[in-house]
Amino acid sequence: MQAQDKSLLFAHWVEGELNAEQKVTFQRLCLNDAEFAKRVATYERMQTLEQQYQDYDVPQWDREATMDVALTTEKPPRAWWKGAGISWLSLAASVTAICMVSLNVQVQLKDDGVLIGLANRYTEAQIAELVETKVQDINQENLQQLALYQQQLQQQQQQFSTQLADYILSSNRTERKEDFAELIKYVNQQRNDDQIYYARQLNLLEANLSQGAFKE
Amino acid sequence: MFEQSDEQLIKKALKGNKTAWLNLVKRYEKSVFNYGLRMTSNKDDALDLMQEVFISVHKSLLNYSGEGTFRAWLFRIASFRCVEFYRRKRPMQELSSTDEPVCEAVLPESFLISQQQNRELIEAMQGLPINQKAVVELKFFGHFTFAEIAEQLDISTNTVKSRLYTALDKLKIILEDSHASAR
Repeated sequence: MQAQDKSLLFAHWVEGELNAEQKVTFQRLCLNDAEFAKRVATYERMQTLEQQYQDYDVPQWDREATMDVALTTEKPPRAWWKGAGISWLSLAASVTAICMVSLNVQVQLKDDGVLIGLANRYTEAQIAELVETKVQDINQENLQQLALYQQQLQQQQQQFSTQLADYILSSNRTERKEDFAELIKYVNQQRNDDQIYYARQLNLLEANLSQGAFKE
Repeated sequence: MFEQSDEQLIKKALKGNKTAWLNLVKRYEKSVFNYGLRMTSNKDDALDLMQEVFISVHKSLLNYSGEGTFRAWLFRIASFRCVEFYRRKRPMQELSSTDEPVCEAVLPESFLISQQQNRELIEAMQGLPINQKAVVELKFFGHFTFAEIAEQLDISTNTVKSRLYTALDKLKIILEDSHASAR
């Protein structure tokens, strides 16, 4: 048998918890295991010494000296905040707070006074109706806003188109003026060149004619 | 005569009733004094320890919840006070080491001479370190179970068993020596 099992068996014996099978094992161990038997014998010897032990009488001593002054002295009257009333007051306050939270009480401060009411004053259908109305209002508002934006956009676009057309027209007119001016300039230049050419031809002819007259 | 229960005396003592407290002290003083004697082997030390235990009990009376017996609660406090007392007396000594050899003068002759068995037991217990002595004391004189001792000393049940077995092995040698020298 292992030492651990022996210890367990011994502990059961000490506590008086041995069953029939354990009792047999215990007795066998006492016969065969000298060390175990000596431990059992020492335990029994100590039990005998304890039974034979005669308690000594307590010498005279000051028993009152053991008393804690704080516990024995007359207690002064309690301050009002330590009395029983304050605990009832705190209990009442707690209950009120719990009720207010569970009933969802709402306190509203207005110019003409204070309004205390319960948040759960609408039924679910009423809430749904309210939500529906609100949603419709918002939709209507959005549609009006969109129409206004559309109108503004159209006006802006028309304005831009007119400006563009004016610009194109004015720019075309200027270009045409410039083209005509260039053409006239060109024609005038050609005419100048032609005159210079004809003048030179006439001069040459005049020169030829004058030379022929000399020869004759 | 009708005897009041511990709980009744405690309730009255808590209200400042001096007589109730003194009755409670008288009911347990002998057990605590003899516990102190076996633990310290010195009459004066036992008296000091007893006084400290009852002062401590009175101060902590409000904390007594009524769970478990008052006696168990009282001895739990006694165990703590005893360890403190021991540390104060022998600050340099480990709790697991054995006491100094017992001085012959610790128990006056007039106090002990008539009870040879008492002397044998007390002297044998002085051969044990304080932590084993506490287990032996609670087991044999307190008649507590291993679980109760473990709770009182704030240690595991296995540690209680282990300390008891080691203590028994030592006591076997001490008692054999004592028996041999007596012859």
